[in-house]
Amino acid sequence: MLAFLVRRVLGGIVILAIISLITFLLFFAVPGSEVAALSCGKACTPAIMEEIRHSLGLDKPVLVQYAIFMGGIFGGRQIGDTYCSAPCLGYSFVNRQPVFQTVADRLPVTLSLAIGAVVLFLLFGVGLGMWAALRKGKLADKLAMGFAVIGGSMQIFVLAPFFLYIFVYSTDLLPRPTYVSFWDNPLQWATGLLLPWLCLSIIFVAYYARLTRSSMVDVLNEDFVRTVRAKGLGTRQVYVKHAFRGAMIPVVTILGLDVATLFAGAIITEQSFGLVGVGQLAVNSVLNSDLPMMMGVVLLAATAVVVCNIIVDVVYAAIDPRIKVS
Amino acid sequence: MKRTKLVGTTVVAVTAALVAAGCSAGGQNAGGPAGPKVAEAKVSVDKDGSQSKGPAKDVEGFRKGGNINILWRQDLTHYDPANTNSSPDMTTSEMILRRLTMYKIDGDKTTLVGDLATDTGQSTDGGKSWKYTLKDGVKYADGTKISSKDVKYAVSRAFSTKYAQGFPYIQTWLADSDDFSKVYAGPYETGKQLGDDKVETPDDKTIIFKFSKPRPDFPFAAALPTTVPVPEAKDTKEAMDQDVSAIATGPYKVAAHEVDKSLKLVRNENWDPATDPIRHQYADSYTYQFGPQITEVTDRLSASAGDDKNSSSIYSAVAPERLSQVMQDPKLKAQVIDLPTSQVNVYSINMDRVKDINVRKALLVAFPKEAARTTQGGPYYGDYATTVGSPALLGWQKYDLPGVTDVDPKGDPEKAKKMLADAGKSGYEISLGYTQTPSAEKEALVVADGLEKAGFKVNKLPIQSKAYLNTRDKKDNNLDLYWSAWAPDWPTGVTVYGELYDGRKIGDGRPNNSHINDPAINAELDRIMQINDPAEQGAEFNKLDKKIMEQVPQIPYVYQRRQVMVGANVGGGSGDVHNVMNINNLFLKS
Amino acid sequence: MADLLRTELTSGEAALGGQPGGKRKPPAGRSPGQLAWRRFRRDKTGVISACVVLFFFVVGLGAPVIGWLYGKNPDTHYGLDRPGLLTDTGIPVKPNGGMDSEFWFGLEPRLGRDVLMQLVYGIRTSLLIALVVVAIVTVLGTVIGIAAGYLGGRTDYIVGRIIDILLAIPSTLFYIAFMPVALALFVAPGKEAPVWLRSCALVLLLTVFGWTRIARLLRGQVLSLREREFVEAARVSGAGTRRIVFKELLPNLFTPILVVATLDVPAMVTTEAALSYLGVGMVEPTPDWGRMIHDGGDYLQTDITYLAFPGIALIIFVIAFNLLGDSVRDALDPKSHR
Repeated sequence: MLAFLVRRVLGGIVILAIISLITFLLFFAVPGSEVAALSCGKACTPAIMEEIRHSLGLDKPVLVQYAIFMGGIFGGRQIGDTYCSAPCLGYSFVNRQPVFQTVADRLPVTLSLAIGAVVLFLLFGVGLGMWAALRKGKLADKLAMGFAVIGGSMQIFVLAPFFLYIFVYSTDLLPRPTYVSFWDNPLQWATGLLLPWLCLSIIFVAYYARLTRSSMVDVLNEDFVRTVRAKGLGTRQVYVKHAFRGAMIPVVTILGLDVATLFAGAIITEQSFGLVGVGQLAVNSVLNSDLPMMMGVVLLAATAVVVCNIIVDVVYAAIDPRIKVS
Repeated sequence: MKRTKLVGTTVVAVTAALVAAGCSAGGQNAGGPAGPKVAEAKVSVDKDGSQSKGPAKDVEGFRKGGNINILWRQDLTHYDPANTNSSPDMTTSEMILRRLTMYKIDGDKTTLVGDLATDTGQSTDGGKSWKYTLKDGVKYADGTKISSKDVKYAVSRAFSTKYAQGFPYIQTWLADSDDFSKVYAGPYETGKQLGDDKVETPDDKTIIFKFSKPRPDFPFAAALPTTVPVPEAKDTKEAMDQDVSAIATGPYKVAAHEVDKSLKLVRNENWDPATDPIRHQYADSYTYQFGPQITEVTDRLSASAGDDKNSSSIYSAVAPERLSQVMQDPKLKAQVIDLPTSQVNVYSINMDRVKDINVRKALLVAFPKEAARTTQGGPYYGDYATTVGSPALLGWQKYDLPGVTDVDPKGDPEKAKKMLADAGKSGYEISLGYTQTPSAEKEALVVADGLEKAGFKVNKLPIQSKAYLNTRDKKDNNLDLYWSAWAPDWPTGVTVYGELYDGRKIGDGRPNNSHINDPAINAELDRIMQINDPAEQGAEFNKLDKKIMEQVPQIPYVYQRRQVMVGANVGGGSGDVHNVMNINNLFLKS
Repeated sequence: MADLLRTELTSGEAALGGQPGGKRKPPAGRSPGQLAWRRFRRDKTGVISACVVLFFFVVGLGAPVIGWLYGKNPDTHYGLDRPGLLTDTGIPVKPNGGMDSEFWFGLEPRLGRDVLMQLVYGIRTSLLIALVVVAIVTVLGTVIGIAAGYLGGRTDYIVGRIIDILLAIPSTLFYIAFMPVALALFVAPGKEAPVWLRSCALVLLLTVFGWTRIARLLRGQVLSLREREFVEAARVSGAGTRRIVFKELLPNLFTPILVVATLDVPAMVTTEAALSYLGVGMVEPTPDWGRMIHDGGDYLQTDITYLAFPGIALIIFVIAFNLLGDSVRDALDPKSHR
């Protein structure tokens, strides 16, 4: 198990290193992507600009800059006048803050959004899928799967404004989505995020219901389920104890990826509901050409995906007796 | 301003049933005879100091106590008074830092009064020297007395190139040179303050400014943050751009400041209301929240949920796409303060490239002001402009200039087409530069459309919003037509005409972005700048405005209005001299 | 991006549901194609959704004709040119977004363009980009997938790692971060990017991430097909690589390729719309559904109609296409229906 883990972690680190290098090269290959210009301000002369470029190390070869950047992540580094402590992902001259700090500030919003949505869609998605599998071929199954197709075809950026119109502007049933820290006021936290959660969930529920149903149907046809059935176990026990566990394997795999992308920021959801999370930070950094911020967010997002993939692999090994970790 | 239904528009009543059914009701016009009006200048100067005494007149219905939140897109660009330069920053700065003079607003009457000084300044030699006396009992937040020597030190340090972003007027006048840092480089480099031949402080209460030419506008310039006292011992140089708590003199002082996140102002106990004719101390504290974009501010203040009801905007607060919905709701409309401003929005024509005056006139005639304005909020965006100066300028008057001031705001493509044909320039190519934001994009589409109808060929060149100003204000910008806006730094024409239409001031980053360079206009400017009486000077500037418009260097677009908004529990909303929310007048109703 | 990724996964997973086709023995007298067609015709949902999809295609392709019949174009600012259509703050005067006998779907707030024309030309933008991307992605993915699966060894390893890396990058984030980069490859800063260049940049980006799904799927299929008797037999009888790939493998991969391609189209249409919604896709004055929906969101309280048309049209299109994809799969591969 340990060797397996080490191998996966090392693989993940290699992938991250490659992604960071590609991102770095791509960003710095772009003409006009002038970080120095951002920190130079109004009364900028070529001489001042050159000075800033020098103090930021922008006059060095790109690969050296990359090495400095990577070094900063582990050891912190000096950028111009400010010290950026580890993990230093660069300094945003638009926000006048180290990138990591800004992302860390925004993370609670994004995490809250992700956690609530995951709980909702897992509960309802898996539930609906199981129910449909149990009544395979019956009306309930058809209804559930019909919902799955329609729900799965929904788009956040279409649903969100309609939801806002129906639940907030026309009827005042729900408050306008805002983020209140969970530790300040758990109730406001939940009501403030309810609408985004619902919106995200509808799409995921549809998808997870489909996935759960098909993998459940698969598992129910498998030999080991037939065996336990033949041994005389009741339907409920078959479902809960054996089939469910088997059926969850593909669900867990996909869940890992989804959670990772949600943690990296549900960009469209945040944008549609005006939530100030990592996703919105990403969009704004693109619109402001805030290169260090863009790089930082892309890297952190990729890290989230890689880490979640490793966790999935471990969980995978734990729940499926047929998979040997070696 | 009243909303009236225009005759002839089919306005269907909003019915709940329709809304519930997912349909939308029709819109209503905002303008008409009772629509927003542009306020004209009424500024006067309190020469004898009779209005410069405290305490300030109370706002009707005021109530003390509580915390008011201020929602604003971004942190102050600079806190150091020598660097402060933008309107919303000035408003905040004025709550914390007092200057020699300041504006007192009472209803629609604006008066320049003495702030730290007893009056707006005494001059016995026709404006070549100005003498100020500090009031008794003015102190810093730590209780130490304010000395006129601190003002002298503050003016001295403003000469340093460190503060190149602040207002240059007083330094330019004292040095009698645009390159004032070359004449005197400031106390850090030279180790000396300005000499007594420039600024003299015979005692701790008196300060005298001496110029080589008459500077009749000095009392207005003294209201700029350049005259905020800074004791030499408390000058922390760069650090002051984030932290001005040591030099607070106003009714509020900085208690906490997290860059780009929040600013907390609390009462300054050493501020004496008896010395201050302008400011109040109603709220216990102000908490600034930096970050919310304009639509978010509109939505939060409209909903006024939770603590948002105790919040206020500071700068523009009603996004164009929200205007209809906010202004059609009487409850929300009551929370909005619709301010005329002294800003004029124009489209500058690059005279280095569009040399033929007939082409410029054709552009003016073809320009679809009405359609363009509709994309920005219609009458709420402002009234159609016909002059380059703002009606808020002292001495401004509407004048008639046939073929220029009487053009149809709808644009007259047929006439423009004929003008182009007569000039032999049919199909003239125009490069239109604009910011690449959803809103500016829409306006550019409409402007291009209008010009194309008149037979121009328009190349639309979107510019990233961050780079727009720099690109536009380059001397060789390779553009023919571009949006530009200017607001005077005080209500006379000195900082408008002198900066924008002086042909000797063309260069990268300079505001003369139409590149007009007419020797006659330059000479007129020199003459008018020397006139001592602001009213007389204003009348002359107005004549100059007409002379400038004869050349059509710009297409006057609108006299900008601005809608600011308060939360449901906030009272006392009004505009200040910078045409932003006068946050010092705000109070919590309960 | 979860939102986008989900679409990707849904369709990918649905496609994965299809078991490797293999060589089935068709009942005497009918080719597999004819059988599939018969099965498809019996599937009512499939036929209806095919009609809807066809309708969207016809509308998109025939946009100029519709404009000619309807007497409008997507660029004219009717509401601004003619008094009485828009209020002075830019909201349609008539209820329901200014819908009437002349402007069937109403007028666009602020700019006063005809909503029907915007919608019709908008589908053209989205569909054109999506179809180009799907065409490139399908060819590219097929080639890479077959190469990886058939050649195995180092090729397979490298392709596998590249796919791993691409999957580790959250796609939407990547799209928005690299759209300016992709644009800068084509246009000097400060110059206007022509519409076709912007489209090229979009196509390029969508392609970079788009090919992995089909490549991954085909690789797996080829891996299992490679060991089957009929391929083995062909190889023993002296067939070259080219013959094996084109005559033996490709015909068996036709089903998964078609299914993935069908499901890719709505995924790409929505991705394109989402990017425009976020402000990094197509810009004015190219009509675009994503941007219409974005603008519509600003008028929730004053003019919901303007949001309703592009919003509902997009959803109908995606539902129809997804249903069609399911039906195509069922028809081609009845075993997958569980």
